[in-house]
Amino acid sequence: MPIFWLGLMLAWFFGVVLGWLPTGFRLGTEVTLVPVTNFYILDSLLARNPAALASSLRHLILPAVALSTIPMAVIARMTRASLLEVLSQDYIRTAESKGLPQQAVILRHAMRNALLPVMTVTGLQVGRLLAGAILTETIFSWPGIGLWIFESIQARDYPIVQGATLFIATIFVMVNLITDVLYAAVDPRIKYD
Amino acid sequence: MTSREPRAESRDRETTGSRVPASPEALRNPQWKTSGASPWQDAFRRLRRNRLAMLGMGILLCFVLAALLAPWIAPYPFDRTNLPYGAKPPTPTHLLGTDELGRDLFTRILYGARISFAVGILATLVSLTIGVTYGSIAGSAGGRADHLMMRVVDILYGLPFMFFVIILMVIFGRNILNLFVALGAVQWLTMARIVRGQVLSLKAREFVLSALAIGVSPARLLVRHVLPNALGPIVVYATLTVPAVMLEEAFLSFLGLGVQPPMASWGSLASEGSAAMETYPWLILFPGLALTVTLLSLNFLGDGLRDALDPQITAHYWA
Repeated sequence: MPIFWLGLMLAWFFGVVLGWLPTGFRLGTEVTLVPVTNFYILDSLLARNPAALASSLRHLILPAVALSTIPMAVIARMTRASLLEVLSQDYIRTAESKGLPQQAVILRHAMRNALLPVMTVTGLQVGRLLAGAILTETIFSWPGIGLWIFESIQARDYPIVQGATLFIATIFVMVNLITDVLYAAVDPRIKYD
Repeated sequence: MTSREPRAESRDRETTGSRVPASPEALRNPQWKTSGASPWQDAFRRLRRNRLAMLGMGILLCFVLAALLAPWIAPYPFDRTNLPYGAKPPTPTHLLGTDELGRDLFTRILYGARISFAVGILATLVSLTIGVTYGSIAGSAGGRADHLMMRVVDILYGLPFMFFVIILMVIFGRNILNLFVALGAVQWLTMARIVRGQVLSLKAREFVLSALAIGVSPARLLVRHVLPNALGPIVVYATLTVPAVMLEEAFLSFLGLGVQPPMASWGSLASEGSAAMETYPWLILFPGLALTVTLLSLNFLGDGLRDALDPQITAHYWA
């Protein structure tokens, strides 16, 4: 499912039809908040302003759901495949025959080993998230790099598009480097010399 | 979409199923030609038993036919405007309603399907050409050249490719030909890996050795003997590339980098519709729905094909 369609349908259904949630922007006009960090949740906590906190959280729900659904599906599918493979291993049968409860077997013995490929996929999803942010920020009027890229494309301001793309590419490469390094932390059998 | 390298076991079946030709005229035919039909028929039989894949195929056939016949079945010309009529919800004369310029949405979706399918198929062909060529050269060259070529793929893998398409479109201009090339140019990496893996394992097989022994040239060996045996995974992956490319086309059109007006693709229709979502929700609902149903059908068909051509992977991972 295309992410912009999902976002628009969410905004239309929950925002326009049901009127439960705001369809855009980060904060309602009815609350005032002095920006300190410009993270509105942090700011409202610093200002001890529950109304602003509620408003900024409510504004987060739809964009968060729209952006996270597709990577979530990919990660869930990968975890399932990886877990199924691990569960057929001999040491799982050993753990079961020791009489360990099923939950302990799955969480402690299987999950840990199944997580390696999931980590790789999760790292790769960051690229998808960053691309999805362009659409999500555009749809929900969030003033981030994504909306900035979108507006620059519309205005044919290409140096900005190139610069922002380079920035995002750098982040993506860094994240994947960190995932690779984390391998060694998760799996002691892997060592980098 | 995560793709996996096909296992070696899957290919064993394709050649063990072949009967040794006894008669002299059968001996004159290349072996893969006589044995090729059986595993493909086998796969097709498995595919036909997969209800979801058949449903996807049926829906796709309808959509493709509708797209091809658009000039005949569309009730209005796709760029005919009717300003006084304006945007109206679906009625019997305008099945899916009209947009602000009074253009019939059903007609626009039919014509949009042509662009969306054309982009999907052509960009996949581009990625197929690059990927198969690159992968088979790396696989058959082997050694240091193979190592170098695969590191290049690894490096490209580590970059967010959607942004590359944006840059390519920005640099080379917004026309539909660039769209095919730009989308295809970033989609070939996995294809190259799959083909290389196939070529490497097929290279070690006896029939390749015997072809070498009778003096077949390397290029002919690759094209006539190795690649036809790697066709299964290639077809499966190509089927799964089409929806990925269509999705990216929608993404680009939504950003305004894809198809330019008055032409329309499903992505650009949804983009236009999103501007007036609160007042005319049908303008975003129907193009998005068409796109989603198509992508879903393609994914079902692709998964079904993978299951049919590679039952061992299925049993283990996708059951």
